[in-house]
Amino acid sequence: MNFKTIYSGIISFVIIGSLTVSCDDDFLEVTPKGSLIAESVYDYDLLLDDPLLREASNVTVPMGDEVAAVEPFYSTIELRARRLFKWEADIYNSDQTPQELQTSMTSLYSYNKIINEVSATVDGTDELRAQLEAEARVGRALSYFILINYYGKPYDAATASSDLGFPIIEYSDISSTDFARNTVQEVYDFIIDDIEMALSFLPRTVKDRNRVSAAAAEALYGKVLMFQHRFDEALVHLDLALDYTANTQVELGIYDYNEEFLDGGVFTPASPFFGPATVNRNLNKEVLYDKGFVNSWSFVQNEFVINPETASLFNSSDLRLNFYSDAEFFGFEPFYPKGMLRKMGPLFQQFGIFLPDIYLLNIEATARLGFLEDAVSKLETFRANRMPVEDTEVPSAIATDKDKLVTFIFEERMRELALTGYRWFDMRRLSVDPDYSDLVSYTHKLYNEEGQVLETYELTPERFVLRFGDLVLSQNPNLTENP
Amino acid sequence: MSIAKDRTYSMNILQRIDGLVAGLTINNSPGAASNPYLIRGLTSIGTFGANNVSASDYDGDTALNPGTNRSPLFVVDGIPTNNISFINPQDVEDITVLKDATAASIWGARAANGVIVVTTKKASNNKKLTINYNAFTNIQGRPELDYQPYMNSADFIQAAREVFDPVSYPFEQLNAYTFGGSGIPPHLRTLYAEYMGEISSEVANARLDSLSSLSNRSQIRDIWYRQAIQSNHTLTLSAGGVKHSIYSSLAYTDTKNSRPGDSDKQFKLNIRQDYRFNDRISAFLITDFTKSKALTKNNLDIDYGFFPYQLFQNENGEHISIPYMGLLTEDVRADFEARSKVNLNYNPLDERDYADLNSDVFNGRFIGGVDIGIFENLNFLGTYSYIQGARKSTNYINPESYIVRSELVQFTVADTPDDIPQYFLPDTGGRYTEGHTSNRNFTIRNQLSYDNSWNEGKHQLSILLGQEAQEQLTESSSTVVRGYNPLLQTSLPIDYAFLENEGLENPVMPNFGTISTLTDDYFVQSEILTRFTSYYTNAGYTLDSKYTFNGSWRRDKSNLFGLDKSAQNKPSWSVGTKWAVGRENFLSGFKNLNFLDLRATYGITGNAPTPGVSSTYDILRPQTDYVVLSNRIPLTIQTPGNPKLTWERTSTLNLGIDFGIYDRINASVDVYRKMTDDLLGQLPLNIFSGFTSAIGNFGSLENKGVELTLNTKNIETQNFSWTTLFTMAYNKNKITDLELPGEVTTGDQKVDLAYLKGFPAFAVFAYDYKGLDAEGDPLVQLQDGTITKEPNITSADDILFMGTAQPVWSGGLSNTFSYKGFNLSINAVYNLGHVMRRDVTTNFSGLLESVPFTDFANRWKEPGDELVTNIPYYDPTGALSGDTRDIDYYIKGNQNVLDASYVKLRDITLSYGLPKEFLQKINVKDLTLRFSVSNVLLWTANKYDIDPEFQFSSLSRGVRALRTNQGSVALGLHFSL
Repeated sequence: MNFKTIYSGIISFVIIGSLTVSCDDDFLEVTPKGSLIAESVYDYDLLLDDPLLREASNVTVPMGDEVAAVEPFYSTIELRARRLFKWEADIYNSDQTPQELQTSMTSLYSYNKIINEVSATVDGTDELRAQLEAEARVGRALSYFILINYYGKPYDAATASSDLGFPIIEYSDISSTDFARNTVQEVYDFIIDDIEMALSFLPRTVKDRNRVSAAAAEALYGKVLMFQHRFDEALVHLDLALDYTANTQVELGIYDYNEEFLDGGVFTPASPFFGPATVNRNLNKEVLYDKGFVNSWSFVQNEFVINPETASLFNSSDLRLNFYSDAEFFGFEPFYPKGMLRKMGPLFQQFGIFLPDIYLLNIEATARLGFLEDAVSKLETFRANRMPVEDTEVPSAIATDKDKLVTFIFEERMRELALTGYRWFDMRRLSVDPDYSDLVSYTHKLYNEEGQVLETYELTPERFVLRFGDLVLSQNPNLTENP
Repeated sequence: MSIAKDRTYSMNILQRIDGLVAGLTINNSPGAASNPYLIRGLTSIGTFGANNVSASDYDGDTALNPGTNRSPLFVVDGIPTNNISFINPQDVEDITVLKDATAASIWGARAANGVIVVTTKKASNNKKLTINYNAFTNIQGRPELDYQPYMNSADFIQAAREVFDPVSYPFEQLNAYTFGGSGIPPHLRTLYAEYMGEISSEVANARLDSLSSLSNRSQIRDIWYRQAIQSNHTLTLSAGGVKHSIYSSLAYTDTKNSRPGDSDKQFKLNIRQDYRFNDRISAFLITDFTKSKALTKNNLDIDYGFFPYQLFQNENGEHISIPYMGLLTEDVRADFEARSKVNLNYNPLDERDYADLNSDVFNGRFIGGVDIGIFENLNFLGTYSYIQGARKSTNYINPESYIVRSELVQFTVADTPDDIPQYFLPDTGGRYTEGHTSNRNFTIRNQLSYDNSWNEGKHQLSILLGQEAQEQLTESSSTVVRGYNPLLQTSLPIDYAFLENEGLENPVMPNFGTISTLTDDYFVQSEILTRFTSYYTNAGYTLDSKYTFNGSWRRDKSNLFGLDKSAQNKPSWSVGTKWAVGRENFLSGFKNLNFLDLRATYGITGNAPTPGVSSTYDILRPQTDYVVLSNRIPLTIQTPGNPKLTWERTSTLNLGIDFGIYDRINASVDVYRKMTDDLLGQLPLNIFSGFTSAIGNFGSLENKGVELTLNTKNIETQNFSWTTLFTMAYNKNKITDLELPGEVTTGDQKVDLAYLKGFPAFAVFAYDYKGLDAEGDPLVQLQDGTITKEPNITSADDILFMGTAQPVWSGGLSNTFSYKGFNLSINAVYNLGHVMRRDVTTNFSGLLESVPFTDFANRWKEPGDELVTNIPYYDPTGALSGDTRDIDYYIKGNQNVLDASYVKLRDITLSYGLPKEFLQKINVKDLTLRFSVSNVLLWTANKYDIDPEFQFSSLSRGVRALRTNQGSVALGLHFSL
């Protein structure tokens, strides 16, 4: 080996050496396009816009006592819907995840993430951080309100602290396991704590139906209290909610059907097959906080209709009848016997903070507290939006009797909200109501097309709760199943 | 590898080594798209969907469903490569399959599934110019349409009559418009017309009889399919001087698939140059270009499962209109046409020419390398590659096409036929989609190697030290315009903000409820970037040419996105030893022993989760699954974070023996055990955690096996020789741990599982089927002996384990005979010991709207039939999932799980090389003619004429794919100057 070789060897070594030096970490720290890890407060803001958070379930629709089933459609539909209608204990096969649980749990993951993480962001303002956390809290409260009414016994102050509710989950961690149920009382306290912690940070005006406002939070607060039979406190919050709706940047209120079914109204042009024109959920002025589900029983499905008793609650001039049809989907001839009616729109059913529900709860609370005149006047104002003014009057025999008036208000809720899933929640709270438990019907009937009753199904009190099912139980040995 | 070289009838280089490498399973089934090549069994499960459906249901597109990769790593000319279809098999010099840890560990991450190393040809120094010409034509024929045993017209009409139930399925319901539906086929329309009294029974019978007498089979075969033919011409030139040698090849491939009108042409130019500057410095450069153009016509996706009476052409050759194949029933169509003033007829043969999909691909592969001797024994080797590919695809859909017409009607408002229709999409011009995809990959590798031997070769030492950086970038985008005029290249604007966000209320043909919304197809873009940096070292020491020890170590890191740094600091390493026993003095007495080596290796390899998909943190993506009104695009959780995520880790222990005796027999036997821990896949989660599954480490599995490769020269005389290559591999796979969503308690859960702890991967489970009861309903036997038809009754213990769908024994037997210029090679492959599900009729309720298999005619019809058939009763009202019976007891019963073993003649090739003496006179080096026949099924274990290669499972039901490319005939020519 001579010097020349050594010399050129060293040179090439140096050149090569400089080539091989690379900055490992810079080279590897690239962010793939199309996704991100939340860092900015605005990322959390956009996460709250996720429409997935505003999905609800149709599970309660077939369980309402206003529903009847009709052949030949009924026997060809999916098993889940038939089991719900029959109030069976097990709605799902042992290997299925309950749909209604899945939607809520995914939303809770996002809410918990926002609640726990948004305060650590550094950009934006503290006000925005506080507001996002508050919105997520109310979102979580609404999810829990729905969940406790699926799985927990109806709220009864006497037993709530021992009745089993739903696991309280405050962290988003996919590796967590073995959950156990908190009591109904704990869950209601958790819901109310969330709302109270949120209230002062929420926007006073309603800017966006997709996002929680103070109005929506107060309305939810009132509704939760109604379900706890705390009517006096409920009325305070329901009044506050309706007061806030006056302060809004989007249109809020109750549609006047006397106007809206005329040419140019929001429900025109009506289609003979699909029913009144659809009002986009983002533009629907009756929506205070948008959350809901696709209700195929007000669209192509023919098997579930309102039963003869419910149909008879409608006055023939009631414009809400425009949302019902006596023919099957795409049928041209009347089909359903005994005056039963198929719902025809809207396809997207609101199940979040929906003003007709809130107005009627407000009226109910007013009546229950004995302010009958006030309640009747509010109810007539409400009814004036739904029928010709001359028919809106509440008969005086009812208007002056508290029990009759409350019964009438529940009938109004049926007329307003039949086949939408609300009734199941009402049935639950009525079932433990000391005064009005007789307003619940415990029978479902299956009719043939001639109107004969083919089968009758009975609701037993323990079926007011859904079961978690074998799959969920196998994951959570300490979770107690409902009877 | 000579067999592989003679298999010149295919452009897939991996098909050429089928049956030649022990332990490499090549799976041709369309259902095996996610794992077409497995080396020593499955080592990674990856993401197969949350509900643990069988592997075949999983969409194998790694770009969309990453998680992990099941395929081996392909290395071409030293560069890890994703797409090997750009390599011309004629340019391939050698293919090596690396199976043990030592061989694989130097390729690091992604090597756990094995490595297939491809080397392309180069020219030698100091060689005169050689010209080679290779050509082949492979006549693959039409797909075997009658392989799927669908009913003919008469039987189908008969069956449709028998199960017709207009009470449960009223005409109004069928006739109603629902988006995504279709029209009512003639046989059903006739049956309803008869039922509703529109026509008399005589007329109905006459109509149905005339349908029964029609058959469209020859039309489907001849109009919708054609003979598939692939041909290739490759011209290579190679020459070498002292300083410079060059190999170049020019290839043209014409692929005619089986669909009329389609075309696919590919041109290739590949040049490899080798430079020798001096004794110490040499370099090479590969420049390889591929260009291809393809056209896909709008052919109907059709087989004999379509209504067998429906013709497509009348006797005059005119195309028949078949409006019920569109979206609408005739009543609805009349109404929609009257209001929209748009024709909604559907003519499938006309449609074929209405939408052309063109694609144009250009790919360049550049690999350069330099070898510098720095000191004596110390070399620097640099390898640098850059691969760039671009694909442009255009799809012009004519205004006459049903797609454009029916879309227009979705966005037309006209409440009555008297209204002037208002069009919210252009009512002239077509729809034009243009997409671009580009790939850009580079690899930089710098390596120092030290080789020395001293004491006259008593000690040999080699050390290797290297560093590597890789990047793979895939970008794609596509745009759509409407109202497009291809001549003037103009398009018309549309109001996306309105049509997409708000939607059009009460159009003629609403596509969602009562409104129509347009999808946001105007601009789609994606980018996937993967980066790796690696450091590796490798050392080997040999003493006395007898004792070899080696070790390797490698560390890979990939992009950090979404992943904790600690999660990927997992080096792979290996140790190995080899003992050339044959050289020991104590064996010198054995004259007939040519060599005898013993080998042992052990090592760890890894498989990385794909960056950005599986992660330690929550990863958010834009939420575009919903219509949003505002100008904000929300975020949603794409992947929930899993703080416990780590790399998949496979340890491999390999013991081997190689020996050669009598100068005729060479054999090697390998025994291995591969244990994979921290398997990556869809980890099932507790529902209360928020998600039902997420990518995580969810189990471990084990592969054990034996492999044998035997090469024998049976006869070798001056004019005649016969050699045999026999390979055999036995693989036993077992999932040793796997977390499933909750305990598997019911039989209905277990029967659908493909992966379960304690069983091999691709496990097949079945009900213990016990025939039919007196009502024609399927019976199942439970473990305690109870026989019942009750649904949901089975528990996990009542389910039978039938075997695995992956071959347990596999391999090949190749015999090559040569006599003077003639050469005959016969290659058979075998796959034994696995099972498959039979494809039986699955619809036993509802309205019969599809054509069943012929066995449907043998179903239970009346009491007593249960004695002669085990095919259940068709119950029209029996709802979708029954309350009283479960058809799955039959479909997923043990009688429908068959032995999938088979032996197939992969190919027979006869070649004839003209005598050298003759060729020399005309200055030709070589002229060889080849003839081969491939894919002839020799034997199957099942008696239902099922070709297991084309059988797969979907949702635990057997599916029979159309057989293609069987018995194909190829002609080839090789010419060399």
